[in-house]
Amino acid sequence: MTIIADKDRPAVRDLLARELVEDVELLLFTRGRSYPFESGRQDGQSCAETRELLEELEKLSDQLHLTIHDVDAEPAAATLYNVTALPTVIVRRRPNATEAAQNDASAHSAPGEIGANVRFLGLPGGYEISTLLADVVDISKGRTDLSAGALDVVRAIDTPVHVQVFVTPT
Amino acid sequence: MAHQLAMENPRIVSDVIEANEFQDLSERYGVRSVPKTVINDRVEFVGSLPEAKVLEALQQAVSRDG
Repeated sequence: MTIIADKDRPAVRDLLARELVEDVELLLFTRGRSYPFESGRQDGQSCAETRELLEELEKLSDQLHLTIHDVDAEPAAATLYNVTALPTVIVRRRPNATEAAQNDASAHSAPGEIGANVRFLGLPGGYEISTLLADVVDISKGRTDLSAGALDVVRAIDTPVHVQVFVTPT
Repeated sequence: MAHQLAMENPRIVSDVIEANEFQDLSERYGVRSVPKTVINDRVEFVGSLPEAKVLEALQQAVSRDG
């Protein structure tokens, strides 16, 4: 039993082969085992399933790279990326060697500099797989299909914004 | 579209949240139907809106007196 249906795999593989430009990193924040609820942290139930989905996806393109942070083993990673829910998936352009070295040198600049602000909280399953794939393509190409007018408005914003979109898988 | 906003501006953090998995959050934001979008805890809308309406909501959420 797989999360991406066998019949859909060739189409996803083709899409990624056709559309991807820059390499893309999928960052998964998860925990290996089930733990009791911890105050102040939202724990989803889909860590294992999310991991499986991302592992399946990674196998469909050489340009996709999955990095897994187990927050029990690496609590600092969750703090660094301001992750408060599990699982959380961050989609971003894969840092090049220089950027990766800078991340090590100055950890706090890491999330903002290469962008760690496109996130899924909980399993990006069902219809959200399409959203995830669209995100991967946009980030890989380094552009979105927002209109020129919208870009002016969006890029002019200079204060922190938190957008939360609640969805269900079907 | 929420994720595209974040791709175009690093000041914007955009979370797509599986409402069934995070029921505490869903309750806190009064999620009755999806998709429901909440911006900076002060502006919200239900459904998929055209680009112009999303931008309107975004601007309202960042305006000092909105």
